[in-house]
Amino acid sequence: MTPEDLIRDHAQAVLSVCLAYARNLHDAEELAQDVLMKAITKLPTVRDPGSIRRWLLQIARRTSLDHLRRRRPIDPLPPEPAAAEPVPAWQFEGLHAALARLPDVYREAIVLYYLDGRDCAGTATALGISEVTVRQRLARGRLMLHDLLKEANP
Amino acid sequence: MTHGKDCEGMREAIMTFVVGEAEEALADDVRRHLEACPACRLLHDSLANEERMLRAAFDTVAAETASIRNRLVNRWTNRTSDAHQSVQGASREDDDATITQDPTPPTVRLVPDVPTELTDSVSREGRSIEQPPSRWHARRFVAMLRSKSVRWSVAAAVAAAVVLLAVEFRPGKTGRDAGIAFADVIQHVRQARTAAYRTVWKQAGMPDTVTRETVNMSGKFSRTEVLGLDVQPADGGSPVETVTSISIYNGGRVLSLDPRTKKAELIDYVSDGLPHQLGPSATLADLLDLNPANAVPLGVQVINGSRLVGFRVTRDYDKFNKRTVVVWVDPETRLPVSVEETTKIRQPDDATIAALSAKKESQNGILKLSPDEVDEVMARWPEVTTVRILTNIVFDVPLDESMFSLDPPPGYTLSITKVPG
Ligand SMILES: [Zn+2]
Repeated sequence: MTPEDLIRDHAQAVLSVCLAYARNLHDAEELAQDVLMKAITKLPTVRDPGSIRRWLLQIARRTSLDHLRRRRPIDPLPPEPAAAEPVPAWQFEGLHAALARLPDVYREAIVLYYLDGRDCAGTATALGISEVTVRQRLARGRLMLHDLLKEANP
Repeated sequence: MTHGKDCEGMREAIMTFVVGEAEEALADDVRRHLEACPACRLLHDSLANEERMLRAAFDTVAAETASIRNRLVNRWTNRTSDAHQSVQGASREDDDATITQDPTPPTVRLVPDVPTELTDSVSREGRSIEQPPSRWHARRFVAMLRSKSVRWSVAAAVAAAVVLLAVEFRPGKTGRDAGIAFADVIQHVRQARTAAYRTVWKQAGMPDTVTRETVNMSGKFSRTEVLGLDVQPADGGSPVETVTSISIYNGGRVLSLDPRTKKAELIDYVSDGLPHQLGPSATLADLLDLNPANAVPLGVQVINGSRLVGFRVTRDYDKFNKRTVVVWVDPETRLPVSVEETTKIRQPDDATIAALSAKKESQNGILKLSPDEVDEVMARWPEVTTVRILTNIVFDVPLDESMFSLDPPPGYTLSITKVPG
């Protein structure tokens, strides 16, 4: 696998995970760039090409969390754009604000599922968890999201 | 049946069902319960409606991540080429450097501060950069067709694109309306049944998206082909166009085709029980909603050798969702030849987000804003502009039904996504 292939095939999944932690797409893009760069330097050490996505997303999660910690030493939650109120939930700003309030594992599963193929098997492979777990996180996280969206737009 | 203990346990199952991930046995359980339980039916309907909006919102984001992905690939390609040249000097003639041939491991970042303009100019200077086609790109249009709200965008500074267009469409000095009223133009558009045209979408910080579209004016079906960009030969010849994705809308179903991976995805919105046709803003039919009284004549202009009559019409959706349409009309047919739409929406910047957060904290974590206050807050947000230019418009083109067929072409693998209802 060449670095070009790596970026082409996996950048969108990496971006999805970064977006699950970042404040906006711009930050996510910077994070994704860091992640891909780290991955490219380590590419020769990858033995099993089948596990590459999962490995990449682990780097993405770690990098995103490091970034959050550096930025906001006190607040463990991703910043929450308070603009959720005036922006309808079906625009991404409102949605992103609600997503930011979900626990990490649910947010990650939801963002990855909806942005990267909408298929539980793919999300399961990417996250290294079972399909049953993906389905459960998807349903529970999505219900939490429903409550949050209702709260923001009663 | 009232909302009982049973129902609490059904919530998760209903959610799974709405997302479309319920296995057959579970789906049957859910359907049976919904038939018997009005309370859960209500929950289901609310979730299903929300799911549609959620998917559209994610579609718009996916379109953005797709262009970021392309940008990352471009940056990498440019970077390796630079590294290659600096290591190998001019001794190597071939240009297909990959990192495996490069003796120095990459230690720099993916050139984060190269602005897109620069990357683009590099690509125009002869490196033909493969644009990975993306089914999300097609979805971007689906999302736009389905929602009047303009998509979420990344960057703010858009002036460049607008200035560029202003030059391209500068009105003639001697402004005369050549005896054509805009109401007349609308009348002629109203009679048209089909149209085909080319579009360019422009937004700052993002590569332009070029499409070829064929639509039925009633909004029943359409076909959008996204064309590959940046593929311009080094000798300065005409850009080579390739179709990178196709999106066919037909009566509430959308088929997305990815010619590279031969994957076809059918999204079925029909079962949500809502009426289905394209949003008018997705087609030229949108012109019919313009108020002729607001049309300002731009005079006569010779564009590409044709004498055309121009109008500018402002149509604001609301206070913060504004749109201007410039239409150039062939005085013979009284039909538009090109249409340029400029849409402006408001998007919060860091400062306003911080201010709102502070306000929220001071109000015990609940931000209460009156409609006036919402207006006041939004008025301070920077404006983001998107420009869509329709050219080469031809009305009443004969249409081949197969263009809008939802059966994938031979060799494609089909996946079906149902929006449950
Ligand atoms: Zn019930």
